[in-house]
Amino acid sequence: MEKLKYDKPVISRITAGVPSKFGLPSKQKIISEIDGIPVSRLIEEYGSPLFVFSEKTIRNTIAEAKQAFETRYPKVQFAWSYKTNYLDAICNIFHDEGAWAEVVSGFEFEKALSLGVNGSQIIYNGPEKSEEDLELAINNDAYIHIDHFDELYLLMKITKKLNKKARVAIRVNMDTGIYPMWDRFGFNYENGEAWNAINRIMLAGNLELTGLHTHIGTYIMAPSAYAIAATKMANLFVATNRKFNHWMKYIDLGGGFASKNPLKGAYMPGSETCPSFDEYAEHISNAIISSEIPHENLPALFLETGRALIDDAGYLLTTVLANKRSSTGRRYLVIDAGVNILFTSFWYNLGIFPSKPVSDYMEETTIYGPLCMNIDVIRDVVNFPHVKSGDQLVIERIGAYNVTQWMQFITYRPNVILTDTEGNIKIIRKKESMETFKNSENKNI
Amino acid sequence: MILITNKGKDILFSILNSYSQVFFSTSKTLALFLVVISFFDYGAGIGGLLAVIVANSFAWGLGFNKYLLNSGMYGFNALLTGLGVGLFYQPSPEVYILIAISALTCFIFTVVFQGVLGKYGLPYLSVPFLITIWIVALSSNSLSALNLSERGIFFYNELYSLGGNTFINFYELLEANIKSSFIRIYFHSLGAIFFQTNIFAGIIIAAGILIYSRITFVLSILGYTTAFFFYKFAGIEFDSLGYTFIGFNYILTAIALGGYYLVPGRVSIGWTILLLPAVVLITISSRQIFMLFKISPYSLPFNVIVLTFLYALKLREQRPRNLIETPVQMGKPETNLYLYSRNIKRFPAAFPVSAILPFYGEWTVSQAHNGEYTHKGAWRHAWDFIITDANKNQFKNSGDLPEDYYCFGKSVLAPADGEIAGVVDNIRDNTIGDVNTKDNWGNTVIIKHNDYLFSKLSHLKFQSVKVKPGNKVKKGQIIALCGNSGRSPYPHLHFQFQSKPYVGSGTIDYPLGQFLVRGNKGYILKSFDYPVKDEILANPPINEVLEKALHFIPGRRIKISVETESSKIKWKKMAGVYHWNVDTDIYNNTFISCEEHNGRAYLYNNGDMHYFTNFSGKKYSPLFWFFIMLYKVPLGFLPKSRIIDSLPVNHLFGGILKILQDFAAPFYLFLNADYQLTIIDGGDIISSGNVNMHTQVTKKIAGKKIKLCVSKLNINQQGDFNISIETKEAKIRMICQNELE
Repeated sequence: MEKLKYDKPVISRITAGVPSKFGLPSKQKIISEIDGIPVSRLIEEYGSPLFVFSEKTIRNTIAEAKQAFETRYPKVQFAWSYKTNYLDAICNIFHDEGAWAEVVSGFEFEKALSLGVNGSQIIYNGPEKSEEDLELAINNDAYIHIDHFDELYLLMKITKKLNKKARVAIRVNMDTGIYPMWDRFGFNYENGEAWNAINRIMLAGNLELTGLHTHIGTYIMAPSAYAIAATKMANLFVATNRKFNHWMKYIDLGGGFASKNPLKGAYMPGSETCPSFDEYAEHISNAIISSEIPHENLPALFLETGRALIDDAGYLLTTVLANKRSSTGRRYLVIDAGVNILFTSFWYNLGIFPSKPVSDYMEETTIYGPLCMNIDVIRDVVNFPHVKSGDQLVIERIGAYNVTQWMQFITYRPNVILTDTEGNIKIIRKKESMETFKNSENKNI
Repeated sequence: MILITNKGKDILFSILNSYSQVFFSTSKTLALFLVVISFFDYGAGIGGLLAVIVANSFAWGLGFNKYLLNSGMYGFNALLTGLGVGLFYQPSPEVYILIAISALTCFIFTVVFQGVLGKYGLPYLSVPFLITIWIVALSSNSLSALNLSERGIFFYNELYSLGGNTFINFYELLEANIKSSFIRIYFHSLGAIFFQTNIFAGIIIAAGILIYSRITFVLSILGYTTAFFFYKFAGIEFDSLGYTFIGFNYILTAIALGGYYLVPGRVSIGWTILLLPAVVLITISSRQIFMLFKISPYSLPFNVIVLTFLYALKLREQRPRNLIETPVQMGKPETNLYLYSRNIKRFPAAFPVSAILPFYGEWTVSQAHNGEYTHKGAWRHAWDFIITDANKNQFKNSGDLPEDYYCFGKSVLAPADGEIAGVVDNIRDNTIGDVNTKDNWGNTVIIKHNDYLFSKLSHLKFQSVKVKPGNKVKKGQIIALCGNSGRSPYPHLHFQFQSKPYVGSGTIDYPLGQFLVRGNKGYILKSFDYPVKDEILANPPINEVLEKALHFIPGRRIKISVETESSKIKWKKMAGVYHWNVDTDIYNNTFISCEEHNGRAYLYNNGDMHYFTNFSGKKYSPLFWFFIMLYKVPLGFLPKSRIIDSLPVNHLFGGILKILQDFAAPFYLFLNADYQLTIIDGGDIISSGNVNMHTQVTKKIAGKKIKLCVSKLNINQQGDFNISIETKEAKIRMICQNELE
């Protein structure tokens, strides 16, 4: 008989037996493998902490999103939001699934070009675009989404200089009934600035107004907000045709779809409250189709969904470093992944789970990262079973933003691997080493 | 000068074609052969020629259709009349006046029958001749100024007068060597079409037909043989066949039905064999009646059978898959066969309405034609569509509620332009698993596309129909939502074509205009085809770059610069600069013509697809290769999609192989030319990039593949084509730029 696992004695609320008013005792979820590959094997081979992306999940998610929109609207085009995750391998999967590139900086633009994306399939957003960046975009026939009048004037100047037409759209911000209202990007709809910008572009010689863009916010839980946005965009779309006899080609509703991660402070788990792609698609499609736009002139619908497409496909594998007790008796757990590589832990109560069966006893625990910084808290409080140092844990739904907003701090950033659809494992970003730094630093000043 | 020669050419062709038109041909060689044999009896020969000239002059002078005049359609009946009358009487001025009058009469009958039968889409064959010749024959007893011909009785005298002793000896030799009565009567029958009694004329006609068309030759023998065996079988005295010159009825019937008015093939030939005994019976019976008036029925049996059978075929309700009436007559059975046999779909006449899939996005066929559940009997030509996810499930969650099903509540579109003929909108959606057999079609919309084509969409969501009877709808317009009403245990969309505007009407076999089928690697684009079970389908979005580039508006001028790399002179000569014009002829056929090479590439664009339909001109010319490479190009597609077609073999094969194929063509095509177009870089959804495509043409000889050429095509925003073609012998680069906007 196998030796029974030793559990430290603790005092806890009785949860066994008849259901209490809190329901039945909860069963601890375990993530022991990713796409059929054991977590222990992954850590053994590629180290800890370790970012793991599942190609299968990515492809399934985008298929689900595409289906939700394409079965409701005749022309749908997804553009992969580079800032959400611009690892080459990840971008390539999205491009393979037919997505364009949505970039917000010269760096991302170059990255998209280097991945072989055709310039005319790049959407260039963002408030900061230098003269060089804009020239690059114009020469590659990209779609430039203008954020403010100064950018518009700069574009007029550059196109005159290059004597080349630029494809442009304007970013519109508006009141869609959600709080907070995002009005710092683009031109406002309600005060007439957006209409003003459209007029200026239509009268400018070298600019071709191809579409309208909006990004109403992030983690939008109310699909109806998108319907309001779509309706307002359709109004501008029709008004432009009425005045200039010009049908633009697309309406871009940006991103902002919620992922299943629970926001901090949310009462219900994200998986319960997060609207499905179907709900977003239903509201958006209905709003555009039932607008004044005649059906033969319906614009293409562009979506720059990032978070909702990639969050579920990413996992962070981590190892328990230590168990501690606080001064108040609260249990502390220290793991080897810190907030420097897990940026989203500032926004979400991330799901963190053991990778093998553990004891049924749960205790309120605070989970800390390995940094010697007070802010390095992964979870403030979580009902967590007892684990020992060396045990491996899995943090789920971390695919979005972490591998772009991470920072290198006191140690190297870890390996990022991909489990492909055939069950193979590929390193898609190598762990940093001293070489990484030596190559870019100069000690001889 | 040029004008005069053109006119001379027109006159000459209109006369020659009147001769060859007797065999449904416009072959000049055959015509020359026929002219020669018509003069075996110079009286008849002059009579025939005179009649043709009279009829054609009237047609020209009265302003009838120039094209029909040139192709001999107004002259051939008069020719037959002239020959018949000329043979009947001794040559004299009175006879020729009679012939001229008969020719005029015959011409007027021709025009009248063209009008009357034309309304039913039928040819007038030799009906005008029949009526005219009967009029003359019945009045012959009273025409006392004319003397009956005594020629024919002294045939050797005539031969002598034509070619002296050599001719007679040659004729003797023929007579001596062709002993079989089977072969003799065949030649006699052929000769009899031109009122010739001798075997020599028949041999010349046979040779002329063989040169003009192998299929026609095979058919003439087939028609004759079938009748011959039927005579034997029924115990009819066969010599009378030769004696009364009636054998040609079988030959003409076989040529007309086996290969001319119907696209030649096993089925058309099978039907010809079935029908020939009827021709025999009509021949024998009509002779009994006509004997009373002392006249011959001539080609009456042929006319009766061909006209009635063609008319009967036109009344078919289901779209034929076999026994296809020649859509646009190319004037030669081989050409018709190669052009139409495997790609009848590419011609607008075949399918007047091009329907799209009635939904957005990708749907799966859950039941196709002749389905295993409900698509049976009179309702077998229908489709059921559902939406499935990546794991092939059609619902999420437990699937206990209609809302769990992906297709439930999705928009249903009008498959083509039309008018709403009927709406049912007030039947509640079933709970999952239940069926409503009382209102089995559930909520339904019926759209009228033309007088005999309606589409029906059923099992729609309760009170979701957005249109009313009488509303006009456009292709792609939302008309309702997918639901679960009627005999529908789970949500799906039922779609069918029918010929009547009622909810319970039976289905008809009509294909969808164009759709994409998802494969392992990209999509395959199908046109005028039938989705089958479990296929995942989507509508192709229209690409504006292609739409613009492939819109060949009359008046468009294209400049072509060609560079070639080859050791062979014929390819080298292709290099240079050319100019193409887009134009239309009087029949609304659009074509591109090359100023330098005088070639023509006919095309057709139905808004979904560009087709090249035919080519005439030189093979080693840029236009020919443009024709091959852009044989079939969709205006809408998704990247990585493919399209497959087959090219007419007469354009790609020549020599002995093609002649052999001609003989075998109605039965088996051992020569093939496959065309495949792959869209590499599809521009994109808002058509902002260039379009890149690859084409590959593979010739196959009895299944053995020979790669003919591959090419890369690039089409830019301005609608310019950049084509590089690689064949075994040469590399060609063509840049086609628009000259005028």
